[in-house]
Formats: sequence, C-alpha cells, structure tokens
Amino acid sequence: MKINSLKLKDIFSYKGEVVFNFSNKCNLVIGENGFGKTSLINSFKIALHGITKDVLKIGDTSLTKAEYIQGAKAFSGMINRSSKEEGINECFINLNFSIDKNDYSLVRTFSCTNSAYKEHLLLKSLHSDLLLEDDAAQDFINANMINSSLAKFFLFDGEKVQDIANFSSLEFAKMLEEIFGDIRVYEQLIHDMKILKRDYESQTFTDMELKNKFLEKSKLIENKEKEIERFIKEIRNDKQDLKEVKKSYTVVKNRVEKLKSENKDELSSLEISLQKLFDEREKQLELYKGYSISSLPLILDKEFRLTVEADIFANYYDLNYLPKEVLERKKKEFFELIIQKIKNGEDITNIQKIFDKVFMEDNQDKRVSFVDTTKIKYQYESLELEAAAFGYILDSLIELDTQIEIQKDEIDNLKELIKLNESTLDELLIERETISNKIALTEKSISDYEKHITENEVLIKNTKKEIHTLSMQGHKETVLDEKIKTTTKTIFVATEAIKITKKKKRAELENAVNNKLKVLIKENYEASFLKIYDDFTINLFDKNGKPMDILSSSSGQKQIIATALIWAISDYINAGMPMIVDTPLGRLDDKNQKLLLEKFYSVADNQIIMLPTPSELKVPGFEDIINESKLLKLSSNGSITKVNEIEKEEL
Amino acid sequence: MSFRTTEHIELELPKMQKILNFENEPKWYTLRFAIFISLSIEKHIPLNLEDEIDFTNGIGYKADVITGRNKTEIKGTQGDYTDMIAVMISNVHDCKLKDINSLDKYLERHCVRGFNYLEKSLNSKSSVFVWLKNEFNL
Repeated sequence: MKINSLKLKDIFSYKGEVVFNFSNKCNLVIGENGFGKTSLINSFKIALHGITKDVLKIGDTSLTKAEYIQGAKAFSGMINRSSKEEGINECFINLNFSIDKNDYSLVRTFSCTNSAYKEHLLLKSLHSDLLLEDDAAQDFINANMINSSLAKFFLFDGEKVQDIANFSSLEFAKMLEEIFGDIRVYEQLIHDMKILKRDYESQTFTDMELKNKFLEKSKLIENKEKEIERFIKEIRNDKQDLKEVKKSYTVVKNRVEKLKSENKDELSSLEISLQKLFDEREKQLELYKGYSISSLPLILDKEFRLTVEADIFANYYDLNYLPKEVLERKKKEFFELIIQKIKNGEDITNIQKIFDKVFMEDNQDKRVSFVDTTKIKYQYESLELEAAAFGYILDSLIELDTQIEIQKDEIDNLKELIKLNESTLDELLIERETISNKIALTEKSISDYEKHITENEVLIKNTKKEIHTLSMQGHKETVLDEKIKTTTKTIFVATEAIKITKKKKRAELENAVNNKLKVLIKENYEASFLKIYDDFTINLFDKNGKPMDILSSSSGQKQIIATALIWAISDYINAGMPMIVDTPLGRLDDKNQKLLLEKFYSVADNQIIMLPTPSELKVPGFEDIINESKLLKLSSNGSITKVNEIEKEEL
Repeated sequence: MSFRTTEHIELELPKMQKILNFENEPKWYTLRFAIFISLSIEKHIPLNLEDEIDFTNGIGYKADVITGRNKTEIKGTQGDYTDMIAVMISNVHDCKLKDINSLDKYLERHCVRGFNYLEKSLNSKSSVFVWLKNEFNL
C-alpha cells in the first residue's frame, strides 16, 4: 500500500484545505514542536480507524469521543479554532492511496453542532464502481489495509515507542496473537462446527424426552468447557503472577542472605585483629612498666646514668668484688704498711689490725652507707638501660594505640551498619513472609483451578458417555451420524492447525525479532536476545543467557528493543504498509540516533513518512535520508498550520 | 621508714594511673613513676628541699612499699630498688645517706614534684608514650 496524498480541511491546526502530496519512498514533514506534527499523525490514525482510544488519550487525560470531536476541558475540539469562529462546523480528512496499483480515496467527515456530532466514512475506488460507506468502508480498510491493533506498528511516536517494551507479558502476548490473524479463521471454524455438531446431534433424537435430555447434557458440556477455558486463563494469569512473585521472592531471599552474612564476617575478622593488637599492646606495656619502675631516670637522662654508673663502679664494688685495679691498689697499700711495721719491729697483732683496716673497713667515699654492695652490682648489671630500646617500646605502643583507635572506629562503624542492616533485615523478613504467603495462596489457587478442571473433564467425559448412550437409544439416521463424525474431525483438525500455526509462527517471529535486534544492538548492550514462549509471553536475555527484566532497561534500550519488535513485526506482517513516524529519534542518545537512522530507517523497504523536528535533522546519518526524501515543511501562524514543499538547499 | 603523699595526689591518683597506663597496677607504680620523673628533670629544674609541702589529709605509706624494700618478684628477679634509688638520690643531691630513714624526705618531695610535673604535662587525652618520647628526646 502507498499513501499518495492527504488532504485536511479545517481540522486541528489546519485551516481551510491543506494538501500533503507524498512520494512512494521517503518523505520528511519537518516541523518545530507545536507546528502541527501530532495533528498530522492523528489525522492519519483517524482517517484509517476513526477516533480510537489511542487518539482519545491526551497526556494523562482521556476524553470521550464527544468531548474529542466537540471540544472539552483544555481541548478545543477537532474543528480548527479559527474556522469554528467563522461559523464552520465541519471538517474532513481525505486520504488517497493505492493498493496493488488500484487507487482509492477515503474521506472521513465530522460535522457537529453544540449538542451533537456526526461522523461519516466514504471509500471509493477510482478505477471501479466500488463505493462503500461507514461500517462497510471500515471493514474494507481493516481487511485490505490494516486493523487498528496492528496500526501501532506503523503509526507511532518515536518519543513513546518504548511504551511497546513496557507492555506486560500478558498484554504483549495478546498483541502478538492479534498478528496471527489466520488463527482466528480456525477459531471461527471450530465455533461454527460445534454449533453444527450439536444441531446434527439434536436431530438424531425423535423422542422429545430424549432430545431434551440431550440438549440439557450438551448445554452442561458447553458450560463446563467454557469453565475449563476460564480456569485455564486464570491458571495462566496465576502462573504469570507466580513467576513474578517467585522472582521477587528470590530477590528478597538473596538480599536477606546477603544482609545476614554481610559485615558479620568482616566484624569477626576485625575483632580478632583488634584482640591481636591488644595482646601485642599488653606485651609492650609489660616492658614499658618494667622500665618505668626500675631504671627510668637512668634512661631518660644519659648523663645521670653515667654519673650513677661511675659512682657504683668506684664506690660500691671494692670490698666484695675486687676488680683488678682495686686489688692492685689494696695490695700496694697493704705491703707498704706491712713493710713499714716490720721495719719498726711491730708485732703480729698490729699487722692483723692493718689487714682489717685495709680489707674490712667500708669505703669512706661511699655516700649511701646502707647499700648492700653484693646486691647493687647484680641489680645494676641486670637493669635495662638502653634508651633506644625504651624508645622502640614507646614507638610500638604509640603505633599500636593508633591502630587500635582506627580498628575500634571501623568496628563501631560496622556495628552501626549492622544495626541499620538489622532493621532493613526485619523489613525484608516481613516482606519475604508476605511474598511467601502470596506464593502459597497463588499455588493453592492454581491447584484449585486444576482440580476444577479435572472435575470438569471427568464430568464432561461422563456426560459424553451419557450422550452416547442417549444417542444409541435415539439413533435413527446413519447420514446424520456421518455428519457428526465429519464435524468432530473438522473440530479436531482446526484445533491441531491452530497449535501447529502458533508453534511455527512463534519460532518465525522470534527469529525475525532477534535478527533485527542483532542489527540494532550496540556492543556494550547487556541485552543479547529475545525469547518468545509458546504462550506468546516474551523475555529478554543477556549475553550469558541470563534472563533480564525489560521493564528495568534504560529508555534508550527499551526504544531499541521496541524498534526491533516493530521492524520485525512490520516485516513479518509484510503488508507493505507505509510507516508514519512522529519525532523518529525520540529521546535516544547520539549513538542510538545514528544507529536507528543507519540501520533502520535507511534500509526500510516500505514507504516512510517521517515527522522530524529541524534539530533532529542535524543528527549525523540524516543527510543520506534527506538526499533521498521528499521534503515538506510545516509553518505555523498562531493556530494555523501551512505546508510547503521545499528543496534540501532550503533547509 | 615512712612516706607521705598530699591530699591532692591521693585525689588525682586514679586519673594519673589511667594516664600512665597503670590503672591495673598498685598505687606505688604511679608514685615511683612520679619520683623517677622528678629525678630525670632535676638537672634542669633543681628541687628545693626546703619548700614547705602540706601533707595534711594525704596518706602515710611505708616507704618500703614505694622502693620495694626486701621485695623479691615472683619470677625470682630483684624487686627491691631501695639501694638503687638511694644511690640515684645521693648522686642527684650529692649527699650522704647514713640510714634508710633519711631517704624519706627526698622520696616524698620528689614524688610531689614529679606528680605535679606530670599533671601539668598530661591530661586524660594525652598519650604518655608520645609525651615521654618528646619530653626526653627518645
């Protein structure tokens, strides 16, 4: 499909008739914010599918259809404000397009008075007599162009594209199922065949009582089957919840474990190391005390030590410990006196007195008379007198005290942290308990549903047996029997076809998405591949195959993931739909902008209508696109937007 | 042989024991440490033995406790430093000590002066180890 032109009349910021003619390839409609780009993209959306929920949502406000058309709150309505002031009460969007070389014109008109509005859709072929209105025209659009669910893959706002990656798994599964439109054909077939089968079965009964019983049993089976379908859905929802809850349980459990062990090992090791410091300090302190009570003055004052030492050696050693010099002195003194006395003819008694005088009398130079000379020699010699050694002990004690202070501070800080952690731990334990209860409840709910399903299946089986018995009793027609068999087989085949189609398409789509993701993904991205499960839920995985949480990815990454999905899905649908993108580069960073332009927009096969701002055009990578594109520029005068075709030189 | 302390010393003794890291030791550790400090600074600040000291409300100890007279350590080493202290005092003051009682006067005066000196130099936040290093250039 190609869009040839779009004519807008008196709608939104467009006053009077404004025409956009598009080329079959790339078109750039350039406009500053507030110049009517959103009005243009909404016009496309409204032209194709009328006023949908998507259009009705403006910022955080959701308007009703009437409010949107006629104006309400801060929204002035669809008709251009200036036109409305001039009394104009009708606006339209005229979309001219081609499908397989057939040209069509679509006109959606809105007319309104103060109290009511009217919407009219007209679609006509420019080559045949085809002329369709309203619902019929809409059916044609949905069937031959695109339905509103899939339109989000072709008409989107670059700034909001990551919303696609924000979908919950279930929303996404629902959206993907929409893509496989042909499954609905099988589903419709199964539905029709079931009605037909029941009809055939009821015809086999001629006995009214039997027929009523049969209808009653059939109705019961139908109800029970519906119940089973509902239970299966509930189980699916519960399992999805359970998966999320179990994930958060694991997160909380890991945090609890981490918090429990965290810091405690470190604290214990710090305490051991502190104890070692204390032990070492105790040793050094003993040495310090030893010096302090014995030799301190002799260490603190070296000169004093030398004086005391000289005094001890000279005056307290002589009688009991005779050093050689003392002995020589005494010997000399003794013989001098003996010789003198012998010469004088003294007797031996006097000589003995001389001996006593020399060897037995105290040294008169000894100032402390009561000193035990035996003891003081040993004591002095055993004293630790090295100032350097004492200094070393003091250094060790100073260093140990510093280390002990640091270690104590660290322990205090750690204890504070542990205390904080303990309060967090309490909260986490409560959270873990709550989650654990939720898991138990959800598991019970699943188990209850499964039990109901089994009960229903038994009931259905038994009821079918009863129907069979009834059928045997009332069976009359073999032709009908054959018809019943045929419808049963058809139902079986259609059911299998759905299963096979889903399986095949799931794999194809997963492959397509991952191919696009590979192209768009940057080297430093954590995300590596995306998996689509049989139930069409999706999950993202990192390079190591570890599951990632899409919702916690950065918005840049989400935009890339969403773009890969859009690209793959639009390729997959292969409808050749034009892609209409507002603010194509959204909020991406420089690298991602370049990536998107070079890897996505430049190589897209479809017709593209991009609505960039002038600043977006400055991004490297846009140049090639500008060269290949038709350029349309929006200008605004107050609330009135005009469009002009321009050459690239005018940019 | 008797040895007196002042009221002030007795009041401040627990605090000083802690500062000197002798909080788990008997009082004489601190008193002897004060005497030793006083002996160590004597060269720079001579002690005036005539200064009046008010020992009222102090405690009288046997000087033997302070010097360790007749004491032998459990491990067999000498614990009696009476003679060594007496020799130190005789050298510091260049005096003769004829009997052991003549030591008391010196001991109690050095103790008071040493204690005051420690008090002036240290407070509860000080490290005696750092102080010793700096004060005596160790």
